[in-house]
Amino acid sequence: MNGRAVPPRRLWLLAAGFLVWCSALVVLYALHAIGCAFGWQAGALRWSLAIVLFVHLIVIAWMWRHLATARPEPKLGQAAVFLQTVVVWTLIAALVATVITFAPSLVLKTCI
Amino acid sequence: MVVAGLMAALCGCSGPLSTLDPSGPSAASIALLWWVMLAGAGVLFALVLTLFLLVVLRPGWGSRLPSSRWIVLGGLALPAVILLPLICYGLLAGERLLPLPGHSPPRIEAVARQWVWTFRYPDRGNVATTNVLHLPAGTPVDIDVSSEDVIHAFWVPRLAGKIDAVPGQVNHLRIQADTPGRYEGQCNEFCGVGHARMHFVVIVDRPADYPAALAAAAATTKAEP
Ligand SMILES: [Cu+2]
Repeated sequence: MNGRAVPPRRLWLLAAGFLVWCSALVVLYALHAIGCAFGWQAGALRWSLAIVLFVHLIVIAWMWRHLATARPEPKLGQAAVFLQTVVVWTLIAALVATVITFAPSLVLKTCI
Repeated sequence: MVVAGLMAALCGCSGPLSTLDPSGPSAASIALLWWVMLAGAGVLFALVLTLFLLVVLRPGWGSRLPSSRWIVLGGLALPAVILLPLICYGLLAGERLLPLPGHSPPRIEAVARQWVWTFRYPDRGNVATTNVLHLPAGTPVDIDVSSEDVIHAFWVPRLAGKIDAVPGQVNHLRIQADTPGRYEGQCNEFCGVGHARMHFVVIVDRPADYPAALAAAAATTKAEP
């Protein structure tokens, strides 16, 4: 065995990217429904959806940057390096998934 | 053998509740989307099977490519090339099905209740029919779908997509039947023990016959308690 065990708490980082994706889903869905139900102007609704999406993208990008440049503690050994690699890739996947799943809602018809 | 198999498979494509036997523009667009998706899935399946067979029949094939390249090309590029165009096509097809305001076709109210459909015709003296929907052929109609109790869904597979019947809310579905005839509809959201039997008949009349046919149907509805 090389190094000490990675603290179990740190495994939560694996879910971090897609938790932000979940938040984007819930907030965009709710905002869209509320905006249509209260008859907001299409332009205003579209812009608020775009801003919400943009904020979520910024959060994921910030986490990506933060984790990609962080140096794993040497005493934690190989497992920490592996965990960091996997977390960084989940963040990239979450970023791409957020764009693909939610960006179309900005372009399509908002309410009918 | 192949022909016999195809015939057997394609026989399942007709029938009163078949989305693959469309009889209106919305249903035709949905059926086409289905075929396009099937073709996309077929291409992907063929590509994956080809790779699989190459690996099985020629051991060592592809081992010169590093595994990270395989992950990016096979796991991301290969599906993305097929799935991203399919997403775009699906979104565009869905966008064109929307009952956009602007030109407003005649309206019919479809009210769901456990386990009955009531259709009201505001443009025709507000007459009503039960479990039978009368439509004029060749012209779009907007169905205002709502519910009196739980969530149901209005679905006439050969004419259009389905839409939920939600209590306290009116959802709109634009529907057009190209040819006169008898079609069938089905509640498509589980709504209790009577759900499976909550179907209805759609009679599409020639425009000239429509008023009389509707009046006759509404008269028999009133006669029932
Ligand atoms: Cu029902």
